[in-house]
Amino acid sequence: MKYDLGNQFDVYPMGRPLGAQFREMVLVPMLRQIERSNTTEKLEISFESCRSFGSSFLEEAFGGLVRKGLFSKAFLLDRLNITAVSSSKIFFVKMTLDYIRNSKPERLS
Amino acid sequence: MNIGESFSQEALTPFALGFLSAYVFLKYRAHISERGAQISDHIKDIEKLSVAAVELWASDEDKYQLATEVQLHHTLSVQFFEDIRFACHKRRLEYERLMFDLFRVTASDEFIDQNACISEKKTPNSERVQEIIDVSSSLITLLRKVRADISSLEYLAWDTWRWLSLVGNFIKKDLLNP
Repeated sequence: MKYDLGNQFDVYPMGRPLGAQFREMVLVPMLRQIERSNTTEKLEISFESCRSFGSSFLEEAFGGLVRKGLFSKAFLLDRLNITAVSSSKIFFVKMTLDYIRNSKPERLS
Repeated sequence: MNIGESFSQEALTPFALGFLSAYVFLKYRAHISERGAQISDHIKDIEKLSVAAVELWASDEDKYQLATEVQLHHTLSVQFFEDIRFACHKRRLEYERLMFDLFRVTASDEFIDQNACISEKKTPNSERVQEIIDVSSSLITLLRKVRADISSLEYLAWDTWRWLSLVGNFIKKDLLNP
């Protein structure tokens, strides 16, 4: 399953509100679909067509998947494949993975 | 004396080996020099990013132009992220961490919100300014150390080993198993 963030969502994804929107409208449904399927299919998100990123967008969209208790880190690191070709975009790919690895589920009040 | 004998293989071999060694040495020196220049340019990009970010977060002026400058300098600073990361060798994880931190402190939270009023004035954030100074100074210091390290024998050995690995992988994947 493939998704091009720049062409299908926003070329300049920035800000927490947009990050939350992307998480709830795109990431969660697609990841749930993969979770329910009995295959080893992965969700591939391409960053290549985006022009720039906001730190808050990446943290809210991807780190939020763990922080909100929606998916486990292990599941995301196994089934979510974030791709880019150019060196500048690879920075954001690595940063996104860093957000996923370092996010902790929020405690329920 | 036969001309052919004077230009025998025994006479040419040391000459050829010497020529080849000198060529390889000069090419490697040029490569190290180029890498040092790349690191120096990267340091300048980070300095410009830090100055723009401090100006953005320390002022109460119209933030749009300042924010776009920060965005520009950040985009420039990550153009060769993988190359610089590789050049950092043993310090690459620290470099990666500091680059992520720099991005977070210069361009997160209230940086640019698509719904925010562009000309909205804001209050200076001294804590953010201090974070920017701390992270950028650590990053620049690390890069200066890396720039000094790339001339060392240890770096030469590691770089050579890596090049041989790449050649080996190429031969194995592309030539033997096309």
